[in-house]
Amino acid sequence: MLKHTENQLVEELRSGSLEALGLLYDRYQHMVYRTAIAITGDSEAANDLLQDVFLRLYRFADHIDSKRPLEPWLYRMTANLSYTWVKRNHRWYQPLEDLADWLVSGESNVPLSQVESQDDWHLVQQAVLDLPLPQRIVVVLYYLNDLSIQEIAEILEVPVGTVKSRLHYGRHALKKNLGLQKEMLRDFNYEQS
Amino acid sequence: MNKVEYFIMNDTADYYLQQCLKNWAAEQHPPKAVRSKLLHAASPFHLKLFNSSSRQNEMNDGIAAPVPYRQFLSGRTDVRGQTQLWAWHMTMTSLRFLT
Repeated sequence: MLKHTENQLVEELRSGSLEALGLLYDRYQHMVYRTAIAITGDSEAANDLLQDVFLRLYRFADHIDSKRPLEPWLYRMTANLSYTWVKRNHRWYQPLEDLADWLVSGESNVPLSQVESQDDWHLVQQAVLDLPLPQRIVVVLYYLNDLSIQEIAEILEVPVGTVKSRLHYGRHALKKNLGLQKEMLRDFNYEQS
Repeated sequence: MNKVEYFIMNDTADYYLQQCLKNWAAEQHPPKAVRSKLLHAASPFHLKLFNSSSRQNEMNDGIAAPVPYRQFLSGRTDVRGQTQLWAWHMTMTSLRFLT
């Protein structure tokens, strides 16, 4: 079954094959789940969105062009559903949460010494969640999913310039909020994956 | 998928952000139960119920509801909000007709 190409699986999906759905799920579950949880910041929501994305893939397989890669479709669906979820659920209580965080922390910027002493990964993820939603989606697709600006523009169906702008402001806000500066990061040894 | 040439991450802070996000994401795993739930929900019986309710929402005595079936494809539609709006609209229209 591992020899099945994506094209064949989508074709099988059209005929209602649950096995093909399972195989596509196995192949793309982490990509969809991690994108959803990075945008929503909620594991329960990410579970629901993961199921919803693949359920829609199954229902609307007839509308998907099997000659084109499936990944952009999955990214688009994940981003759009996550967008809708965040808009619906954070409309009222997010400002209150922000206010509570501000009152507790007393300041918006996190100094790098604090970043180093705490769990960096979760602080960065939290900083991403603090971004405005359009910037957050672009930042997640760019940094986490390694998509190019052109690909992000096609997925979100917005102009390339818009993606560049959102990424620019998003990365600027991230660096500012995390107190990241070149001089302060001289000793940081990163591993290029 | 390669990055386009005109926008290259050339900053240490960029790599730091990327590595932190990737490391964080690598810790996130979907529950195994989601797979079985998905296959159960996609089984013909449930899908048939799902489809029939969608069709009922789409048409109401020949009047198209504000959330056409096809719009679910985009994933952008705030279904709950529009459905509430639709219910409110139908209630007020009926009341206005009666008064």
